[in-house]
Amino acid sequence: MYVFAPVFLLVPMAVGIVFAALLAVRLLAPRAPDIGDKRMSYECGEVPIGDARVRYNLRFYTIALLFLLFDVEIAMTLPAAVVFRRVVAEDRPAGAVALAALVLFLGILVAGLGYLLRKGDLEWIRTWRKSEHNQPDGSPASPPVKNNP
Amino acid sequence: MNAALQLLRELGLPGGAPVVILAALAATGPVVLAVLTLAGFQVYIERKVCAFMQNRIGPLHCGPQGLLQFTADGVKLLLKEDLMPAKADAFLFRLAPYVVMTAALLPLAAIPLAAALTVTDLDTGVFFVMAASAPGVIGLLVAGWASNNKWSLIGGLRTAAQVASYGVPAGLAVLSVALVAGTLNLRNIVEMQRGHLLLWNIGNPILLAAFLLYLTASVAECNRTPFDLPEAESELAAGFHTEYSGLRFGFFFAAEYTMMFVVSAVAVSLFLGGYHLPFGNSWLARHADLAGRAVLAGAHGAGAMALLAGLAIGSWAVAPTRLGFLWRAIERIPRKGVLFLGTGAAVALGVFFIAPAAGPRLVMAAGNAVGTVAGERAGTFAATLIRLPLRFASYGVPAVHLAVFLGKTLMLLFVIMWLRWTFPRMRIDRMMDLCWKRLVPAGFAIFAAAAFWLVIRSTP
Repeated sequence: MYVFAPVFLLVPMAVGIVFAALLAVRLLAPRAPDIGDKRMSYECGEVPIGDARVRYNLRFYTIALLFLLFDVEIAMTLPAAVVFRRVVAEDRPAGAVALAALVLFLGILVAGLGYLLRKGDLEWIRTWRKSEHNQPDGSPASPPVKNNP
Repeated sequence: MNAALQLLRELGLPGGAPVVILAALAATGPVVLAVLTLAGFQVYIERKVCAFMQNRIGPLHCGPQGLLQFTADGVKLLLKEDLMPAKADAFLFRLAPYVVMTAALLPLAAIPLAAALTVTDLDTGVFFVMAASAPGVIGLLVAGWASNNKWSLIGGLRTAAQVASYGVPAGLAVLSVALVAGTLNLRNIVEMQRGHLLLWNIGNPILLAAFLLYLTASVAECNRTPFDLPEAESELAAGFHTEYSGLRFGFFFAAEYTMMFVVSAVAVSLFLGGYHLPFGNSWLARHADLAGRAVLAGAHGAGAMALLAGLAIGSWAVAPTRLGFLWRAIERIPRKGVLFLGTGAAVALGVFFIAPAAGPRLVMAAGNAVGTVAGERAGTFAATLIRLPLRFASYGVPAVHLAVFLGKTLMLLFVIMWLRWTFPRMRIDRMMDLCWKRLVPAGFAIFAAAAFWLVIRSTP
């Protein structure tokens, strides 16, 4: 009935612990932030050049997409996994159908993973594809095609 | 949670929202405090383990064998200046520790510490744990971005990529267990593993593979060596927490160790038989009485200690001696009030635990006395309250369960520390390869194997 009460209580509790502790810091710790270069970003002691609002590597987006895909898949398989045991115990044809459905669903995902692997989307360090890099006749790789004129 | 609710009903309190909140507080508060203390203590264990492996001694000077090192660390963090870079995004910079700590503490709600001791018995169990701990990575990403420091940004991005990637094999391992157990409720999963070592999930070769997969993936999810690229000090200063100082940094640290505890506790529940003893339950059933008496004696002992501590603190408050830096910190707070409050609490706790040992007749007399002064309802309330510690006699089995559970969890934590001090840090491309090209396919294979095994087993 009230099973989620502690869950809802834990959120304000965690926030309260952090808030109370930081309040204690405010009361106890010294505060003189403007002495010296204390408020300068620490980049190994060098004076920072520019801002950290820079463009970053596209591969992080790929990872985010992959994560979204496979994690949603896990979330969607969980209900099937939970009832699977019961269905299998019921009778043989039902178990066979359930197994076939599960394997089909997983098979599509594994095929997708295989496709990504083949296309090189799981590589962290992207290089030219091997066929471009080493021409069969030993000539050097052709330069990459530029999209923007 | 249910036990606390029942207890409050027996005390004669009316039902309704306030009592539910009180029961929830009674269920969550001690667990959160214990786990946060354990997180501090883990730092000590880690330093001792590391020192042992490197032929050193480790912390030695704070308390016996350096046992109080984490309190010294805590006081130090509390007294450090809390700095924020001028260029940082102030709101997000301050928000990050809250997100991280909430995500670290929330999963504790679903972990079964003993058969009768779960904060709350969630049917969504492991799924809740996975979902509740997921926002932690958002906190780390926010910390990295808000710092406006290139190292922090790269550290935050790496954390996001790493935790997101390794969440997939960990999820597949959990999925395999859910498939075999047919439930997500962690307590039910543990109950299904009742019995000796080979009846635990780890005794099943397929789930043994799932356990190894989960352990590897969760070490990576906690950003621990050999997968600690987000805070690789040789390339990124300190990664996402470079700009954090004092207690604000301490929260990232505490959250990391709390997450380690959560991950180990989930692994113990899913694969290592949870709170069950490794040689079956008949022994515990036979000796439940003895265990109960031991727990009661322990409670009385703890009460006596609290009483003594209260008296000591009280006498120190009356006639203080100067204790250096600690004293200067205490001087800033309204000293007398806090100290006398502490003394009072400790003495009350001591009396509370020891009083019932004086005998049932005295308890009855006290209850009657309150009853005549403040009415019958207050009298039964007082009598029930005074007799409360005697219930500890029936807490023998939960106490043994709790000890077994904590023992297993600490062993797993030791394994994680062992990994840290054994393996060098991986290169990032190899780490991502390991996840997507090795562990994810392995996870799918384990899941499929578990499904086939279930079908073959049930076929006559």
